[in-house]
Order: sequence, then C-alpha cells, then structure tokens
Amino acid sequence: MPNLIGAKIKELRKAKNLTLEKLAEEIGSGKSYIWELENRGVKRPSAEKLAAIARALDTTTDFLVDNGMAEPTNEVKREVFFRKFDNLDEEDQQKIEDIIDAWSRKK
Amino acid sequence: MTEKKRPHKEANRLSRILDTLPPEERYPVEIEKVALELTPSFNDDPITEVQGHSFNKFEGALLKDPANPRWGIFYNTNIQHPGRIRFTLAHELGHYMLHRQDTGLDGFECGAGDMLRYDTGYTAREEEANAFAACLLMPAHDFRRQVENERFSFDLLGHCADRYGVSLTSAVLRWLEFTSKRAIAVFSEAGYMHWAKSSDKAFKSGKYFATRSGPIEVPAGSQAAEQTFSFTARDGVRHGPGVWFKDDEVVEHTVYSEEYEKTLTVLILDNIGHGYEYLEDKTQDLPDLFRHSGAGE
Repeated sequence: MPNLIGAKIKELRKAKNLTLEKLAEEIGSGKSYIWELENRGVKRPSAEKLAAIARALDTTTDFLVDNGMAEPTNEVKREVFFRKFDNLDEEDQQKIEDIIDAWSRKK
Repeated sequence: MTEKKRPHKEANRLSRILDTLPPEERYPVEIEKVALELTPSFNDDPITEVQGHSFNKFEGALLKDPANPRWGIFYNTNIQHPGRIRFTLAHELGHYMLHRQDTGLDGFECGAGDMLRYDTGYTAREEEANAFAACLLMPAHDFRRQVENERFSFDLLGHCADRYGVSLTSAVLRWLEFTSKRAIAVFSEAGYMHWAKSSDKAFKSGKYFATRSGPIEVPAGSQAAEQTFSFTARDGVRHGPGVWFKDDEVVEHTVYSEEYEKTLTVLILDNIGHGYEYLEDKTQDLPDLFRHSGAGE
C-alpha cells in the first residue's frame, strides 16, 4: 500500500520545522504514533486525529486524504500484473500503457 | 532457508557464465547485457528490451509483450543512485528467471521504498527476487574473498559497494550473510528503526530487533540517536551494557546521510571483552557457515 498520507504529513511537518515530538504534542498523541503514520502507512487515523493534524500543519483533511491514484484500466489489468498497482499515479500508468503499446508493435 | 535455494541456484548459473569474462569486465555486473545477451541463449521467451523512462513513483517492472513471446524490463531513470538502478534491474531479472512461468502473471512492477520495507510485508516473490539480485551482483565466491579475515568497517563495505556497483546498504545486508560475528544492521530515521537485520549468529543468540511489531526507538546515548555524521561514529564507538543491550557491550558503527536523513548502523557484539579487538577465529570455516545460512547454495 502506498503511504501517500504519511509522505504528505512528513513533508509538511518538515517544511514547518516541526519535530515529531512537537507535532505529537500538538495533536495530543505519542511521538511513535506520528512516526508510524509517516513511515509505515499502516495506521488509519480517525477523522478527529486527521482534522487535528491538518490544523497543526495548516492544511486540509481533503488534501491529506486525496491520493490522486487511478483505478487500473482494463488495458493494464489485462496486460500487466501489478502487485502494487496503487503505487502508480495516473501519469505513470498512462506511460506504461503507451510503452507496452509501442513495444508490442515493434518488429 | 530453503526458500532461498532457488534464487541462489539461478543466480549462480549466470555467475558461472560471467566468471569467464576477463577480470576487468567482471564487476560490476552489467545487468542489461546479461538480460539481453544471455536470456535468448537458453529460453524461447527471452528478454529483448531493457528501457529506461522517466516516471514519477515507479521503480521498475518486468512486462510480457502481449503479442509476442518476449519480455521487457522497464525502469525509472529518475532514480538518482546508480546502484539502486542496478539492483532494481537485477531484481526484475530475478522475477524473469524465477517467476515468469507462475500462472496468471504477465508482469511485475516493483514500487518505491524496497529498502525501507524490505522486512515489512514483502511477499515471498519479492524476497526471492532480492536474494537473486544480491547473489548475482555480489557472488559468494568473490564477496568472500573481499571480506574474509577483515574486520568490519564502513571502508571495507564501501569498497564492496564500489566493486559491485550497489548501495552501501545492499553491501551491508550481503555481508551479514557471510559474517561469523554476531552483528546487526539497523536502518533508522528520526529516531526510530525502519528495519533491522541480524546475522545468523546474532539472531540465534537472541540479539535482534522485532521492528515488524511496531516502531522501536533508537536508544538514547547511541551514535545513531545523534543523527549527524562523524568519523568517530563511522569508525566504531564502544558502548557498555545498557545502551543497545541490557547485558552486552557493542561496538557501534554508524553513518548518517544528510541528504536522505537516514542512518545506517552496524552493531558488532563479538569478541569485544578484551580491549577493542576483533580476534579472528582461526577455526572459522566460511564455506561451512554458508551452508548453515543457506546463502551459499
């Protein structure tokens, strides 16, 4: 599973020069909770926590939650087995399709 | 570790062919050449393409041509570290050698962060492809020659990383499979461990960090907790009991990367009771150790 929310939180936290401790304190949770959220992608924060994080980082929950991921198209589903398909954003996915297409017609 | 037998067997099969190259061309292994020049000689469905493209997230994939009996490896040229690209290519070649005939699969796409997640929820196939890649890029017979009778240092492992064209982390993970020491590698960021891997001996003596069960904090007082680079930390600092382990002394070697804000630590637990000495055990038999760890199969 891609951990986009974690990556966003990490980036925003660093941009604001907040330490793990400081952000944890601001949202009333433990330091290891934030670390896990940023690095492991296994935690699903509650709506309440998410709102607190968004507030502390001057952003919106929508921004944190939106992952910009594309559903696999039939084309890609048929031709390619992507174990971690959700790692690919729309642009990468389109590119892969074009590459397969061009390659398949070669020779 | 029988699951690693096949990856090593397949990698060694290629290594034996590569061993006939002149010494100056032997290392680092040029995976693109291996894929394009060797796979057609023993398979009806060879790899005919190795293409780099600029992608956002994706690292590499092994794909099957939907129209023809042939395969292609595609990788992301935006990856900065050339060692990482080499490892990615070798990993995809591993999927080709080991998994392409598995039913229902037409390709493999391998995502970012493999080094961060290497022990957190990787599938068996991913582990096999990694074992294949490590073994092809750093063959046992040559790696052993580089490190045997040498005590651990980041200089030694840096030499290996250069020789094989891989990252320092890849070289350290390979070294752990060879060493007769009780040694542990720890990869950490912001004071917590991403992963840790013990040598066989360290693991069997109960010295490991179960990073899968949740974040483990890097201990206060360790060099790793500093998150700065220093030559002193790189060259090894001795800690008494109570820092890394309650009852054990360790020599901690730590390097910190400013660029990635990540820390690589190697802890050595053996033979440190009598001053700062690593006494090489004359009776140690590396090939034999190999057999126990499964790494030399």
